[in-house]
Formats: sequence, structure tokens, C-alpha cells
Amino acid sequence: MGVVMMLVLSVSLLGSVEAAENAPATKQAQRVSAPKGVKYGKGIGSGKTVKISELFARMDAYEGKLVRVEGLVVAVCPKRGCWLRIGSDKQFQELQFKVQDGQIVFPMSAQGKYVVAEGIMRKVRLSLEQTISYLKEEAEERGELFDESKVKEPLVFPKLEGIGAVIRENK
Amino acid sequence: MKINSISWQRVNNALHRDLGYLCCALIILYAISGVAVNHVADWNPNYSTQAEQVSVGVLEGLDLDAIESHIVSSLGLDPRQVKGRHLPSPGKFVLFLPEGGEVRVAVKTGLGTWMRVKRRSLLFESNVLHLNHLKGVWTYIADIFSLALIVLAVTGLFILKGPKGITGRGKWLAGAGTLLPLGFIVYYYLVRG
Repeated sequence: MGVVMMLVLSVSLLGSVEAAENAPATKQAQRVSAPKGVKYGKGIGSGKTVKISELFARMDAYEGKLVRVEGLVVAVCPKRGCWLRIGSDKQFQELQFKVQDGQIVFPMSAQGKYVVAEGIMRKVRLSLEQTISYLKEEAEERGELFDESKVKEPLVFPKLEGIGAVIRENK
Repeated sequence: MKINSISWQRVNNALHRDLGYLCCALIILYAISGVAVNHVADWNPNYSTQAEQVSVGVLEGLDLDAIESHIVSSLGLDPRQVKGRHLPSPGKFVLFLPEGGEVRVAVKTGLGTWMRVKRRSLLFESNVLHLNHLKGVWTYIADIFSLALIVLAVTGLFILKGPKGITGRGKWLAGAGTLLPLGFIVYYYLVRG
């Protein structure tokens, strides 16, 4: 009996892994108004669509508000899958989309795909010391050299507290 | 009603045996995943990455399409593999490849890094299950598995009778196993504050 049950368990195990990749997309496709793709977290709700450059330009106006953004996934948290960076409509801008550890886990394969993401906008204000530490960590993650003497001003930037997202291959 | 101790012993042992068979694969899977994610600060438990230093020649003066084509031909990539590109900062160009791979180069020098990313077979799937990334039905399967582990632990205490059972040396070993986590909790939350 044990062997049979183990086989049943193994089949359900493999089926579940497969389902993780496919099932959310199928569900999402059934909704007419929702964007197509693989759903993460609560997916996309009623957030107002805002350009990422607009969030950077008017941080105070959007702080604490539910917003929806779209763009290319330019980086994924490599270890826990707990954040994404979304490329802006403006050059040299990236928006961090942070989710609660374990609640949503983005795979590394999301990098280079297109994301529609929704969350609460937070204005992050770092001290100079925090800015150096933040940029240093980023440079290390990317295997780049970092010169802290070049950092003269503390960073202030928008960040989304992620609620849900839909990721697909292309725009 | 008089309880027959022999039949209870049989039920206990049979339950322990069959649940053991049933849970064996998942216990091993979860244990391996547990070690893997326990050391997440030191390594990536889901993906292995391989970084290669590359030189694709000077890209300055080229437009974005030309830079992309140049990198693709220099590294012998299949153009269909390119998923997108990005300019993270002035003078930096990133080309995205499948599975989280990327080529990141400095436009001025053409020097950069080609990052290849590969899923850790079996470990990735184990972590998906252990950390319940699947949600949905798996949440309930994992709940049932947890209950089964409790039953396994409790029935395990009563498998043997006599000096090697729970009334003999078993109580000392079970006590030691309880004191270990308890000791850590007391030390970290009460002694250290």
C-alpha cells in the first residue's frame, strides 16, 4: 500500500510543479479584462496605470497610492525571488517591485520578460551612509566595481510594495 | 471498556510503519531542501550561475540595434534567444537571454560579463515544494504531510516497550531532543533578551 501511495504522491508532486508554470496563465486568460500571462500573488486589480517615469517625477503625489506599472523585467532577486526591477519608459531608470518573502516568488527566468505589476508606491529616502551601502550591495550583486567616494548625495527613489503581477513573454 | 494494549501496540506500529513508507520520499526531499535554503546567504539554492568575462569590441557610436547585433554576432548567440535589452546607466548595455541569463557590457570598451543561469535540477523542484511556491492544492497536501509527521513522531515514541522504550532510555533521548531547541529559545529570547 505504501508503494502505491508513494507513486500517487510522486505523480501529484510532478503534476503540481507543472501546474505552477501553466495553471495561473490559464486562469488569467479566462478573465476578459485582465492582462494575459502568468499570475503572481493577487494578479492585477484596480490600480491606476502610471508610467514609471511619472512615479519618479512625482513621488510625493503617488506616495501611498495603489498603482499599476508595466515594463521589461531587468533584474530578479537571485536568491529568494522577492523583488523585480522594472525598466522605465525613460532611459537609466529602474523601479523596484518588492514583495513579501515567500508570499510571491519570482523565478530568475522572468528577467527579460514583460511585467504588469501592481502595488503601493512608497518613497524611499536613504541617508548617505545607507545610499553607499545600498549601491555597494547592488554593485556586488552585479559583479561590478564600486567607488564609494563618487557617492555625494543620498538617494530618494520610488519603490512599489508589490501586491500582484502578471508576467508574459512580450509586451 | 477495557482497552487491549496489544492491539493498540499493533495499530501504533502499523501506523508508524505505513506512514513512514508514505512520507519517506517527501521527508528526504524536504530535508535536502531544508539544508539548501538554510544556507541561502552563502549560495543560491535554486540556480547555478556561471559568469564569463567577454570582450565584444568597442560599441561607442553605434545605435541600440547595431549594438545588439554586434554582441549577438561576436558571442555567436542565436538572435532568437534575445529576449530584450536595457540601458541601466549611461555607457552600460544589457542583453537578456533565456532563463535569466544576460550579457552586460560597457559600451565604451566592449568589455563585460556573460552570465549563464541554470536551474539546479531536483533541488529547484524540492524548494518549490518545501517553500510552497505552488500554493493552491499543494498547501493542503503539505498540511496533511505535517500532520503525518506529527503522527510519525508520536507513534515512534511508543514502538518499543521495556528498557529501550519510552519508559526506559527513550525518555532520556526524547527529553534531550526537546531540550535542544528549548535551550536555544530560552537563551536567545530570555537570557540574551
